[in-house]
This record gives sequence, structure tokens and C-alpha cells, in this order.
Amino acid sequence: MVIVILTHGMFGEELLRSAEMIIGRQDKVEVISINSGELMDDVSLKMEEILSKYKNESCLVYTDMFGGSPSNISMAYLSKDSVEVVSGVNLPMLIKAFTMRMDSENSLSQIAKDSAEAGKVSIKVAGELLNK
Amino acid sequence: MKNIIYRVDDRFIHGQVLEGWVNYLKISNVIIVNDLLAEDSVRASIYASTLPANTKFSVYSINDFCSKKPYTKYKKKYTLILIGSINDLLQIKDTFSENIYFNVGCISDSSQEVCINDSVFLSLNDFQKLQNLSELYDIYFHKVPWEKPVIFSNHNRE
Repeated sequence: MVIVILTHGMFGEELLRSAEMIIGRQDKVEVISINSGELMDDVSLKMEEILSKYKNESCLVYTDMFGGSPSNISMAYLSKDSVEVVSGVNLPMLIKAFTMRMDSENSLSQIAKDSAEAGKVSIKVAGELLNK
Repeated sequence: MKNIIYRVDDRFIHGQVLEGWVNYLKISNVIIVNDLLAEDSVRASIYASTLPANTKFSVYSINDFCSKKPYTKYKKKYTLILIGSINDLLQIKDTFSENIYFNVGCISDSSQEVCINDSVFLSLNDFQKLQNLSELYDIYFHKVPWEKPVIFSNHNRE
């Protein structure tokens, strides 16, 4: 399974770098950074090149913000059974995906669901935990 | 700000539009005017899914928009009308009036000759068209509502 991180600016690049600091270098990861002044058609083309490069693999796309251009572009590929999109990517979510895909028994949809959940439960207001 | 906003934005609904215009101004109605999207139910449904549940959303072809003028029924609430290019904007000129806030928000092709800001890049041709339009209406470059808009200067206009 290939993981694509598609974000505004360099967020995806840095997120991958941070994840690799924690769990080591990852294969089959592609990052697309959308910058100011970039045509959406060009971004779609990059996405299609990745899907073509990994045409025999399933593809899990992580985007930063639901409703933003990265999500809108990647959602256009949801008609393919082998593509899933998860928005709101954060470090725990990405690490969960990387570790889950090490087990080939885990399906695309399961990794998408479980990583999304990992991303959600990692968000804490620390003061509330300490009964401040 | 006027209640009817015409925004030229080649990304249509995206972060700037959602977090800026739709949520900040509590816009009730979002209309996309685009011939391709009017025929593309998948992309239209992707855009629809991103909006708050209480925001009305519709897509019109240029001809349908001009003939139906769907924004006229929402006069008391904010209506955001998204247009993909300067050419498309000029094609709906029959709907223009002094009651419209004209906003060029995002034209994201940095290969064009004129850089207005980090979101708007214009060809010389489009720049000239806007200049002509600014003789009749105030045209603003306005990425998000909490930033100060920049008006297209036209010294020929009194």
C-alpha cells in the first residue's frame, strides 16, 4: 500500500520527516505540496502520476483539511476502489498508518478507519486530564 | 459589505473560501457558476460535502445563471457566487449591478505576467479586462474577509 500525503505548503514534507524521526525511514510514501500560484490541474496530474506508478497497489491519501484543495482534489479519485482519503492528518494518525501497513492482513479501509481514530484520540486538552 | 459577493476563484470552494468567507461571514448561499461543473455531479457533490449543513449550495451553467438569476431570492442574506475565471465573470455581465461586491480572490497560475498577491496572478489580457470593468464597478482583490481589500485602481474613473 502506498501512502500519499497531500497538503497545503510544506506541511506534508515536514510531517513525514517527523514521523520518520520516530519510526524510521518509510518506503512507498509520496508527498504532494500545494503552493501558492499552483494550478489545481497540475496537482491532479501529480496525483495521477503516483496512481499510475503504483497501479497495482492500494493508495491511502492523507490531507490536511477537509474542504481544502488537497481534500477536494484527492476525493475525485474515490471512485477507484483502491483509493481512500482521510483528512485532518496529524503525526499520531500517520504513524498509526505506517505501523498498520506493516501487517499485510490490514486492509485499506481498516487502516483508514483506525488511523483516523488514532488521530482523533491523540487530541487532548492537557489541563482537563489533570483536573485543572 | 454588500450581500451579494461575486468572487473569481479558480479553486471554487477551498480553505480560503470555507474558513474565510463561508464561516466568517456566515454565508447562507453558495452558488458556483461554471459550465463544466454544471455537468459534473461528482465534483459538485465533493464541493457540497464541504459546506456547513445549513448552507444552501447550487451549481449553474453560465447561461442558466444569467437567465434564472438565482441570487435574487436571497437578498437579505449573504450569497457567495463563485466564478472560475475573468472570462466567465465577463460572460455573466448582464447580471452585474451596483449591489454586487466584486472580489477577485484566487487565480492560481503563477506563470502569468501580473502578480497581484500570493493568490492572484493575471495575464496581461485579464488585467486589461479588469481594468475596463473597473471603469464601471469597484473591483477588489480580497483573499479573506479579515484582510484589508485592495481596490483595483483606475485613474480614468471619476
